[in-house]
Amino acid sequence: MKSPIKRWFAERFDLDALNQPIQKQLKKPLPGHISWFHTLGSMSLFFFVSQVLTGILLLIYYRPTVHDAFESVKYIMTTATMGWLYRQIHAWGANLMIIVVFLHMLRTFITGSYKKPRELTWVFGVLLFFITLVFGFTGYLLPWNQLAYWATTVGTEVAGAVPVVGEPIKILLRGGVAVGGETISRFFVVHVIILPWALFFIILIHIFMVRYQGIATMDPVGSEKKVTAKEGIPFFPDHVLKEGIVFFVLLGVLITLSVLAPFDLGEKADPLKTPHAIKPEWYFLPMYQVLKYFPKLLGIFVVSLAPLFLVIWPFLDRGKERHPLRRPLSMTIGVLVILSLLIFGVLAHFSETRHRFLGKTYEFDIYGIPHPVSESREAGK
Amino acid sequence: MRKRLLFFATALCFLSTPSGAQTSSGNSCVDCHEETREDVQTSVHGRQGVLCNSCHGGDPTQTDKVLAKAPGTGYLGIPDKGRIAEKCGGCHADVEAMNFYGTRTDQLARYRTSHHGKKLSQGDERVAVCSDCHGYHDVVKVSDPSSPVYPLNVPETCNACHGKPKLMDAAHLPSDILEIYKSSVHGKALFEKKDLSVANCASCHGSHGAVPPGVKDVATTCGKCHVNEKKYFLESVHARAQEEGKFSECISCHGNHGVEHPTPALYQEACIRCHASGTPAFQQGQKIAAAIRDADAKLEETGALVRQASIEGFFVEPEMAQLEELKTNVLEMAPIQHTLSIDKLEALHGKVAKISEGVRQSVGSKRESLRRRKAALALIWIFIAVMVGALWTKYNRLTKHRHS
Amino acid sequence: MSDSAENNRPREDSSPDKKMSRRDFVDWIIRGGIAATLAGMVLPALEYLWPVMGRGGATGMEEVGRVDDIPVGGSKKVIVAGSAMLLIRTPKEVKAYSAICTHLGCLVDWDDTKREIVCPCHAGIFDIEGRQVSGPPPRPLPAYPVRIADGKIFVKL
Repeated sequence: MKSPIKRWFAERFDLDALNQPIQKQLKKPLPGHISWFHTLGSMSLFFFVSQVLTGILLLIYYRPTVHDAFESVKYIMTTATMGWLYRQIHAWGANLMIIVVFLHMLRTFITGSYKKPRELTWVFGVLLFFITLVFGFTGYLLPWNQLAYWATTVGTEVAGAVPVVGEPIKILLRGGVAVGGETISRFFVVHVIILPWALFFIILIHIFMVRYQGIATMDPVGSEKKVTAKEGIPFFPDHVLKEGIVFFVLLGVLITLSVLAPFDLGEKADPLKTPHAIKPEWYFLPMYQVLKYFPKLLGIFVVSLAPLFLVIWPFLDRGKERHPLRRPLSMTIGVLVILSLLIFGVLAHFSETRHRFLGKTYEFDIYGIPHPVSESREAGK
Repeated sequence: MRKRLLFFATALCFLSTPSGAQTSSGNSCVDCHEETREDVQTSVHGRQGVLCNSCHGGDPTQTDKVLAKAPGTGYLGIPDKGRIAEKCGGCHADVEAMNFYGTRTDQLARYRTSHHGKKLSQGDERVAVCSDCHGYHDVVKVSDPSSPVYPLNVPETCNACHGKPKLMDAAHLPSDILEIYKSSVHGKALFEKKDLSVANCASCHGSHGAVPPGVKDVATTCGKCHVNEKKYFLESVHARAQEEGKFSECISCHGNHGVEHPTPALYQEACIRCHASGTPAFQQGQKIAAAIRDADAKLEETGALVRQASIEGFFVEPEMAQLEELKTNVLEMAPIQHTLSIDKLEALHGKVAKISEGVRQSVGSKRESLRRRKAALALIWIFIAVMVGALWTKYNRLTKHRHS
Repeated sequence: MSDSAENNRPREDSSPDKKMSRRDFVDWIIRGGIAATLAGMVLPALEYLWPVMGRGGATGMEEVGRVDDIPVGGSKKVIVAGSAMLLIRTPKEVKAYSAICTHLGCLVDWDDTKREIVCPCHAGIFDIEGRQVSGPPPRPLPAYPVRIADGKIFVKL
């Protein structure tokens, strides 16, 4: 059975000593309640790997300058063989990754897995979520099209409203007074060097903690029972098979979206032509909408409270119960937060647009409130 | 100060305020002929200090009515038509006098060669002289939109006489030209688009030297603007017929005052006037028309295809460039058809067809590749279903194995 | 899900079983599927990496041809970024203009005997600087900066 290659290595390295911890990790029993939703963490990792690989491929042809960025993305999409696929997978992967990471966080919240002793795992997880969002924000600018340019202009403008430090921060973000060649350079560096490595190391820490402390059971804090190999589910192969199934389905969804609903490149950025109703990407919409209701400074304060609460949540919620039905207050807060995210997101999506419902045309104002448009005015337009 | 005022009053006279005391020292005529004051003052002549006596004689420096018109002052009163041209020419044909203004000085000489001028020299006073077109007291520069000879106003100005049936009947001329012109491609461009560069009456007939272009001069006249059409026409068989006087260049097909935007239909309407249908010449005309029609249709079709592909979300930049080339070829057919050379038109038509086919193919292949991507998607899902099935089978078997 | 991990399966499940062949079949599908998935990811990537020939990469300046291609006093028409461009070689330099007539969009030509840019459609004429000389064109032809390096003509778009 021993192949010459194995022997070659065995003569030089203590393979058994290396193999033991690997086997231990692989065979580690997971608690019996482990569900499909527990694959979301691995799926986040899958998207990260996918983004890194497609990102490296895109880098082969992408050039981060004002003159070339748009043209090089166009080149990738039209000329390079299969380039369209990698660009679409990267773009759709970014969106799906945010969804999957968020769902993973939601699962952790519902099963109460963030409670003692896993508070730090949660904190690092939240950090990963934020980094994913910043990934989205910086990556959005890189194709240098109209939407990207103006969304970035508005996005960095928000930072400028903070007193005293706001203006310097804005200038630091933009690399100048306005969004331009310097912005694209620094967004590029952040997007392809700083964030990937930051994410990589934080993922290592996060996964190390998960594996070291084991997956949380549903037992209340302080009375957890150790999962035995007998009643637990082995990570490999059982859980891995489940992850494989979800992986293939997600891969299919990713490719399908890339083919059937490709992202437009649109027009090249034109600093002299502001498009109507600039909006950030969908994952920033709730925040963008909330900012509208408050005076600038207060709005930023309100909006920055949410991530703060997210980070310190395990230290606020010190109840011992993990089962969602025994944590009515936490669940109510969770439902309210999700509802408000949805409502503000939908309001922001409809604001400053015009849509037809049930045969009537409505004009949605800046707050997303519909106003019926009289047909005569419509005809006049 | 007084001295200075006096200087201005005498030199530029009308520029200063028209109070009686001052004008009497310069141009006393308008003191009595009050109704002309404003016209004269705002006219190009008034602004340049040309006084009434330049045309009417007399002495405008005299404040006394009798003295101003006294013998020896050359007083004329209203100049008769015969003298108007001479009076205007007194300055406008004087190279030394006009040098300062940079205007040409051949108007009088040209006028004498015109039908108007010739008739006038025969004593016919019904013809137009300078003042009939340019106005008199209120004459302004040609570039002034209120001038009757501003390009937009020329047709109406000519029509003031040429639209009078009685007058025109006497001269055996038609009196409905303006109406016909208005319906022409030139008239529409002038009146509707306000295109000043388009041909008005004077562009073909001349202005000061107005004559109807003779049969031989038509091509020269039209060719002033339609350079390529003329060049190509001279290569055609009709150029020889024209030399023999059997064919009136442009007019034979396009007409004159009522020239309309030409379409290939002209090959049916115009050729038949000389060539019986079925003759080889007529057939050739039909072939040319067919080539042009087809090229036009291809341009439209290909343009629509590229637009549609762009709406569908394809990148069509290279196709847009090809479309541009196609358009050039189609537009080029318009002047080249005047050679009536079927070879030349077929060559262009061939290029149009080739480009159009190329665009059709490249859009087609883009659509095909999208279709293939979708087909591949089906295969990918089959593969995924197989994999999910296999993994699921294995998972079930493992859990069953464990529970048993 | 690495292959080495997969290899452990038969050993682990080597309990006597009549459905051995069916079990093997599922294992083979999974292994083959994983290999196919990897291949499906790597092959298009390799295809993507292989350069698309016949198109020069550019950095702001687009290479449009070689100086030797154009005789002195002559011209050449090229398609750059989806638009036609007219290159004219004078004794001193190479000039680049949009070859699209500003009147109705025909492609203009260089008339080397008259030293004018001529539009074949409506006899629009531009001079060597791209300014309209006569005919209907309302505007001069847009010009592009040209640089010559190593016998190659580069145009800035």
